[in-house]
Amino acid sequence: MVFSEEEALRRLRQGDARVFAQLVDQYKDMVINLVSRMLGQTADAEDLAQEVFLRVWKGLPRFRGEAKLSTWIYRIAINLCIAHKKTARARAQFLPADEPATWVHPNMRTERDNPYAEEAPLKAKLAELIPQMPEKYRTALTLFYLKDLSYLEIGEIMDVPMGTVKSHLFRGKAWLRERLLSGGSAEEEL
Amino acid sequence: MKHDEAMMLLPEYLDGSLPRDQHEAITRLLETDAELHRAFEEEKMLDRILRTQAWVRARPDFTSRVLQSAGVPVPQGEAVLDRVLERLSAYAPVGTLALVAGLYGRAIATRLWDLWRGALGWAGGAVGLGKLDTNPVFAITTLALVIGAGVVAFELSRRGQSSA
Repeated sequence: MVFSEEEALRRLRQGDARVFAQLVDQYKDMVINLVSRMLGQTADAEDLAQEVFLRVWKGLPRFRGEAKLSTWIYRIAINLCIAHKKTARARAQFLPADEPATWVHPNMRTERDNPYAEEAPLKAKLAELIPQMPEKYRTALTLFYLKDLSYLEIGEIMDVPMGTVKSHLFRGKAWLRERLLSGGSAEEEL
Repeated sequence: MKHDEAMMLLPEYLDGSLPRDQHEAITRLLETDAELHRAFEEEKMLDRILRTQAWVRARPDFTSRVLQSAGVPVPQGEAVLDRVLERLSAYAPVGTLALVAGLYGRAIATRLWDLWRGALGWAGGAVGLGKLDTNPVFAITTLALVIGAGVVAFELSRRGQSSA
């Protein structure tokens, strides 16, 4: 059964498990992709996505509904990724980049189907670069390209004005372009 | 518009969110400013790569694992029923269409054919070709040509927009 967001929220606050299951079903792929792109293709993506939904479930009584439910979920995911990254840095333990993050759907598009297959090496390099980007640029770019969220929605998730989102996107792309196309070092940050 | 301003606005130019006057100004500038043109081509490529990143799916048991770790009990029967209903609702429009086609398909096809012949008859009269509405091969060839021309026009306009 499909509910309006208000009705779903009301039921979720009452602890309706079925609506929560529907919510997880609806957002799980988005959250997993958001997490895996923010952190790189790590085996932790599903665990972190699971943690996102646990926080959503626990935080529901405090959620006032001022933002859209999706905005709130993405914000939790982003905050968790940032915290995870900081912990990982503190421990100086880098996660292996070549481990598959999650189960890959058999119908998923492959490089063989890609008409721009010659760009595959650039794409691979990009996947390595994104987790190394300055956090604000990485967050804006990931949200923008994950599901074509509007500048306004990204601003709400990141809690910054729309102009700042545009600036982050511009500078983030410049950061990537410099390293992707000019072969610059990925280690240095702007 | 100056070069630096145009460089800053390239991402919005690419996603089509600029006001018309700014969009046109950049289009004009792209024809004369080689550096801007190169930056635009790079921007397009980067945009394409970012848009076509691999999309991963959660494992099929992801939701049940979340519910389990949250300590949320979900009656399995209801969960399965919900999913079945959800899938069915997705196919409802196709099913309805199939049903209508099954019940009234012949009548609809006949009516459409009559309409088409009427249109061809009118067109044939206008250009002096009587057989447009009487010869099925001629009629179908004309229909194919009309559809083909439409597809070509659509494709050309789409390419024109995407390269703008």
